[in-house]
Amino acid sequence: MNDLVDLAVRVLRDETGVEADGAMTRQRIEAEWLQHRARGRAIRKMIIAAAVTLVVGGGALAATTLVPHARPTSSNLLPARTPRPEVRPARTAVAPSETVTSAAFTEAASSPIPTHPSTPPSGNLGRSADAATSAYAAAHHAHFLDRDWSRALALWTRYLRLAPRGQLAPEAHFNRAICLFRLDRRKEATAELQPFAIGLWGSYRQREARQLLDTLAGTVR
Amino acid sequence: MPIAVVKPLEAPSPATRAVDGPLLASARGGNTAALGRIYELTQHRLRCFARRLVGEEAAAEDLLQDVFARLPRLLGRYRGDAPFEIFLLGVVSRRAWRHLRTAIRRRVLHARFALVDSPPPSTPEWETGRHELAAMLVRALDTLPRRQRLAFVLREVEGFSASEAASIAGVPEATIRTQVFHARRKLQIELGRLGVS
Repeated sequence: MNDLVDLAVRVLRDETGVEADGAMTRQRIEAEWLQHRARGRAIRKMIIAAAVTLVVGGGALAATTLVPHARPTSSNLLPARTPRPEVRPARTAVAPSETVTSAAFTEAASSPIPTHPSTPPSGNLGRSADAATSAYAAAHHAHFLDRDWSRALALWTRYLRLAPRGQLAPEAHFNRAICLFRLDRRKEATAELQPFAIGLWGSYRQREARQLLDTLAGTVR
Repeated sequence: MPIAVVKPLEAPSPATRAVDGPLLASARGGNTAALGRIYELTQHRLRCFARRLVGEEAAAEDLLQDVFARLPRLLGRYRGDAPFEIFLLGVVSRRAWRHLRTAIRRRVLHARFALVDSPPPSTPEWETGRHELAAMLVRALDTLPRRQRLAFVLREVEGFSASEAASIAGVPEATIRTQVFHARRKLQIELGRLGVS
């Protein structure tokens, strides 16, 4: 009977020892690695931003609480020139990749307005946000109500130009891909859908993108 | 169908040695090419082990993905006191149970349907082929407590030494020996119960 167990063990070894392709598994694993890297970067940025905010905020707090009681000498007037409210405009001009404050980070994550180096100073920021928002609204209308694919495509592209890193950018990219698909520009649609399918946007629209790519796979010219 | 077993027990693959310090350092730095290289060097061994432990292709692939997706984080926990592949096999064995539960449930369901269609075979030499014998061993393994299953797969199927198996399972060597002894005895009984004689 012991021999039988050994025999069964050998058969199991042979059956399970063959080389497997595992291409799909590898693809999924690589997508998760990319996500992990993106998450790591975001966390690092957040930590740096929080630390800088603490330092800047602490300095400003010290200035506002200590300075009024101190004698107005030339040395203690210096920190009083940078009270807390005045820090904000300086933050908005910093690019996300070089972000140093939590305020700038929060803005980048929660609004469709890009905090790009080329972004105009705070006066124009509101106008830029308005333009992006109205572009998004117009694109949404053209896409989902009018179903005018070429106009919607142009408007999604316009929104993405105005807010390339905006909160609604992933949705705009996906909708852009749908427009390209509807307009029979399948190669461009495929290129737009690939990042979703491999998980560059996390699991957001991943399943839909894969289904669409499967549909496109046999028909791309 | 008679069973013909021709292959002798093979030694564990030496892929471990290829995962060296510089490669690990590069992977720790977030280099996806280095992570990919580690995957290439270890995936075959890990995949075989996962298949043997959970007894099912799909569950093994899920387990493999589960482990390799964590590779960037796992690198930080690796102390270098055992070869990297042994460390990864330990991770596979610890994360296998959830996948194993799913696989066992599926097998029980399949077996229930299969019994309706065809009666269980009586002797392996004449009524079952190699595949059926392997499937029966997997079903017999399903009846073992999970620690005994792990010890048996590591020692008897994977061919690890008692100390390597102990290192992977995270238990003393003596425990591994005892578990293998009890597992083997239970498997004999279970295979007999399944009609293999």
